Formats: sequence, structure tokens, C-alpha cells
Amino acid sequence: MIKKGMKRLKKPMIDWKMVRIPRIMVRVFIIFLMAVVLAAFITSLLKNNGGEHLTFLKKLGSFFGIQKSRIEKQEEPDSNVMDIYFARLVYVKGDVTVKTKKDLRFEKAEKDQILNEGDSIRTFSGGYAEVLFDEGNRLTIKPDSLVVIHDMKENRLTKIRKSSINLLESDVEAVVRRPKIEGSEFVIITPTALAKISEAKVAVQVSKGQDSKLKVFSGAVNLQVGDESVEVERNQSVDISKESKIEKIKDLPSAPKLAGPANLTEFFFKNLTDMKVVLQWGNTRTDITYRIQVAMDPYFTDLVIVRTGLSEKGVVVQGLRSGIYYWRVSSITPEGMEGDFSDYSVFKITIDQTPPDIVLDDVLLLKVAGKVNAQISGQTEPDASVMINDNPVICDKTGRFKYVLSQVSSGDGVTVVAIDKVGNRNILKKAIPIQ
Amino acid sequence: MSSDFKKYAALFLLCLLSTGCSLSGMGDEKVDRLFTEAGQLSSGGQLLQAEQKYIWVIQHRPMNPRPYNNLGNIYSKKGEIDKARMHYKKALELNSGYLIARINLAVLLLRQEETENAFRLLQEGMKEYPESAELHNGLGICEVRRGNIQKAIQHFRKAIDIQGSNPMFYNNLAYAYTESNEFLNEALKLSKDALKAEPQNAIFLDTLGWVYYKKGIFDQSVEYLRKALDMKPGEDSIRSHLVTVYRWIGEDEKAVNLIKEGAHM
Repeated sequence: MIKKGMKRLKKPMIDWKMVRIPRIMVRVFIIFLMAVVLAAFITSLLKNNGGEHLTFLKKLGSFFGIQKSRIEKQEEPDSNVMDIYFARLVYVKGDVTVKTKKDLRFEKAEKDQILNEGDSIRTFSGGYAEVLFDEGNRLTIKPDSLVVIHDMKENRLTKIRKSSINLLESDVEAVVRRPKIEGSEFVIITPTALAKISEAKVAVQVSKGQDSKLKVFSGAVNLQVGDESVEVERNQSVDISKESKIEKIKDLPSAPKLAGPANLTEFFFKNLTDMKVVLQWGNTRTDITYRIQVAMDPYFTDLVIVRTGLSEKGVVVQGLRSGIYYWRVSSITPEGMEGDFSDYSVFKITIDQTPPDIVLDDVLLLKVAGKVNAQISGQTEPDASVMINDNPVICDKTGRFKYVLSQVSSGDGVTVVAIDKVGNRNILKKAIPIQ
Repeated sequence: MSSDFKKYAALFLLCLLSTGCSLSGMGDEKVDRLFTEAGQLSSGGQLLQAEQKYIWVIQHRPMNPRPYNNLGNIYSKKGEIDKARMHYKKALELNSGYLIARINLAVLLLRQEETENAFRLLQEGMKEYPESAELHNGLGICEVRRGNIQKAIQHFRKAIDIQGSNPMFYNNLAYAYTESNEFLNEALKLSKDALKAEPQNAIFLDTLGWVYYKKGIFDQSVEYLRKALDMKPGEDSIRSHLVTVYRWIGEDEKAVNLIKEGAHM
């Protein structure tokens, strides 16, 4: 016990004691240290000189994944800084199959299926597919095509993206958006050519005989065929022979502009035989003919009318049933060169033989200064016109109507007439219940 | 004696002046502090406290337009439109070159469907600030409402040229393209870009839905418009767009239900 007032003895800073370390621990520690130093040395050797003269170490390194063989290195030059991204099948119609890199056979394609590098898409007769790449580029694959997604890589540091697809026997259209990062590109590889695209709309066909045709509808494309490289500009077409030779670059006619009917026009007809719509377009050239397509879908896979060789800038369409239709037109030169289609427009046909329904609410009697008024209200088809006892009544957007008949007396009735846009008429009569 | 008196008087005045200056400096500091605090309270949603502080600031600094503008913002948030309008106007009276107050007032007028008044106000601003992206954007909105779609497109394009990638300007240009029934592909691209920047913006969702409608891709149109309406059920323009699409695709019952639902709100 230390008494008050007495000085405390100062404790030493370090309390030296004899510590005995077991000899086995010391040995294990030394062996571990040597192993670490040796591993560091081997790693540095492999990384620095490639281990050309150290076959054993090379194999050892390969085994542990430290170093890859030269061939592997060439195949994946920047694999350590590359991110792989995905594409998606946004539209599938008809017979479309996909073979993933891992699988051996083609399986039925599904909408919204994710596509990776090395995946193949095959369309058969009547089959269509649309692939949306992560950066917004779209690839439309037409029937009887085989497309392989070759590359979908992004440099982790520079964010430059490289997408490439291999076309075997194919018919495709690609819309490539302006890249967000300068240097990014979309490449289409055919058996005999390579097309580098930064921002363009193109169509590429590869025939069974391995001839290719490239059409550029907007933007420009750098085309490499063998050692030759050409810039193919907007509204130009180029044929590439199977011997890897560029044929003459030809001009394409520009797309016509649709003139009418206005987009999203609705036509009403009472009978199918009455149905008649005039589709019109404009173009400055006079020496060309036109091809028109009318389809039931915006991808123009479900075609209901196709007419070619039209010399007029308009056509009368008849016999279409109720439904929504999409239409577009392309120009064809006397030499048979077909340009891009116009943007499409939409119209709707309604063949309506059904008279509009009339549902009347209970009649509301209002007594005013000894006289009785009757409030007639009800519901009919939206956009139908309504008459109550020969008086026109305004309906709201939902087809509801309300009208007050003044000074009604016992025995009076109400007659409601509703006429729809086509002229179908419905009449409803009801007695006014006055006691 | 008189010289002494003069000396003392001068000394006294000097003291008075210096005291006044220091006192007024203290007042300035307090006003500045309260102005900052009011701003913080306002952005924190404590509108009542912020309002009181701004009123105090205005009492002590009645010639400064900023507190008037900020108080206008508070009244606008509280839905007291007349008061908001009065304060924005006061801010502009004090400084006609006060761009923010001008734009705030124009937005308020547009919300009150006073398109022509907003248009005039923004055009006046253009004399002083011809390169203001916000003014061009506002004028574009006015032109859409006035039915001059091509002029609206020019204004939105100019706004984008000046300020670059602003999602709101992208959205507005996309909407104008859609209304013109031209450049629908470009509209789709712009609208998607805007939505990518602000995925939870109901107005942007509405525009994308409307673009899809104009392109005849109705399932996507309904999907985006439905999302937009779920976010902002009180927004009549979104409801009206969805009603139009339902009508077009023949789903009249859904259209009618939407109208009825809107009438009950």
C-alpha cells in the first residue's frame, strides 16, 4: 500500500522479460518468408521478360494464371481493361433462333433475350428480329439471315466502345447512333468486307454466293475490302464481289416524303365496300418509280399491301378491314436502284355497322313554380351526336349527355336519337313517369 | 470658445457617424444571415419560417429584389399564386434585368394558362439576354401553346445550342417534334436521353409515351403514359394523352374510366 505523501516509484518504460519462441515456429516463419520472396521473384520475372527462356516457369505461371501464352495475348490485347456489355432482342417475329456461345445448338429466340459476345441469331423464312445494343444502336435482321455478335467491348479507361457483328448469308439493316465517346464504332463484317460505322443508317446483304451489297441511307461508312478502303456516303450503294473487289459505287434515290393522310388519321366506313383511302407522297425527281408497303405492324413484317413500279405519287387503297395500318414508300431509279423507305405513317380504319348504345338514367322530375320539368340524362358512344325530342344535345368526352325538358305533363314521352360518326343511328323512346 | 465648440461638435459628429456605420454594419450582417437562413429553411421545406425571415429581410432591405423573388417562390410552393405573382413583379420593378424573377413569373403565368402574358414577359427579357437558354426554353413552351410548333422547335434548339445537354430542353424539343409530326425518330432519341437523365420525371415519361403514340407503338405508349399518370394523377395533360391512346386502340371503356376518375379528382 502506498501511503499518501509518499512518492510513487517510477515504472520502467519497457518491462523486459525473457520470451521463449518455440524453435518450430521460427523454422516455419523462415520457410514462409523464403516462399514469399521466391514467389515475388518468379512473378516479377514472368511479367518483365515474358519468361522466354524459362519454359518451366512459363508453364507454372500459365497454370496459376499469372501469364498467358503469346497467342492468347494476341487474341485479347486489352482484356485487362475491357468491359463487356450486352445487347437485347427487342423484337422477334416468326421463326428466329439463337445459339449462345456456350451452347451447341440453336434454340427458339425470346423477346427481351440478352445477347452476349459470340452469340448467333438465325432467322428463317418470315422471321424477323431486332437487336438493340447497349449504346442505342439497332440491328434489324430480315428473313433467312445468320448473324454472329463478334464484339461488344468497352475500354474501362477510355470508355471507347467497339461493337462488331459477322454476317454470313444475311439481309440486315443497322441504325448506328452518334457515339457518345469519340472513337467508338460499330463494325459489320461480311465474308469479303468490313464496314466501320460511327453514325449512319445502312443496309447490308450477303448472298449465298458470298457477294455483298452495302447501302448507306444516312451518314457515311468506311468500307475496307482487302487492301482497299473507300468512304461510302449518304444515298450510295456499293457491290462487293466474292473475289473481294469493289464494284462501281452507285447513287441511290432519296426517300420520298409522305404527304397524306396525316399521321394517325382515323377513317370511318359503314361497309367494307365503301372503304377507300388515298395515300400520297412527294418527291422532286420525275424519272423514278415507287414501291409502297402497307403493314399491320411498325416493323413492316406483317405486310398487307406491296405495290412496286408505281409512277404516280399516290395510290388508292381499298378493301382494308378495321385495324391500324402503317405505310411507307421507297423510290426506285430506272436502273433498279432502290433507296431508303420514307419514315412510316399510321392510319386507322374503322368499319362500323353497329348503332351506338343508349343507356338512359332514371328521369328526374323538377318542380318549378308549379310546373314540372324533366331532366333526361344518359350515356352513349363517345363522339356520337345526340338529339332529345329533336333538340341537339352536347355530349361530354365520355359520351354522357343531359337535357332538361320543360313543362312536361302526364303522357309525355322522350325520344333519344344517337348517331355515330359513320351514320349508324339508334333510337330510344321512353315515357316520362308523372303521377 | 467657438472654435472649441466646433471641435467638439466635429468630434461628436464623427463619433456618431462611426457608431452609425458600425451599427448599420451589424444590421447588414444580420440581414445577410437571415437571408441565408431563410434560403436554407425554404429548401428544407420549412416554408412558414422561411417566409417570416424573408418578410423581415424585406422590411430591412426593401430595395433588394432577391428576397421578393425568393418569397415569391415560397408563395408559389404554397399555392398562394396572387402573392407569388405580386412578389415576382415587385422584384422585377426593382430590377428589370433580374432574369430569375422574370423566368419565375413566366412559369407562374404559364401555369395559370396566361400564355400571352408569359410570352410578352419572356420577349422583353430577350432584349437584354438574347442568349439566355432559359428564356428560349420558356418562349418555346409559349410557342407550343400558341400552336407555332416550328417557332417552338427553333427556340428549343437554340436553348440546347446555348446550354448543351439539359434534359428538360431535350424533353421539350422532343415534344415539339412530336407535335409537328416530323422528326419522330429524333424525338424518340431525345426523349429517351432526357428520361435516362431523370428516370422518375413524370413529364419526361409522358413525352416518351406520347412519342411512342405518334410512332404507332401503342403498347409502349400505354406503358409510359400509365407510369407518368401513376406518378402525377392530377396532371390533366398526361390523363388526356392516355385517354387519346386508349381511344385510338379501341379501349373506349378504359378511356371513359380515366375521364371519370379525372373528374372526381
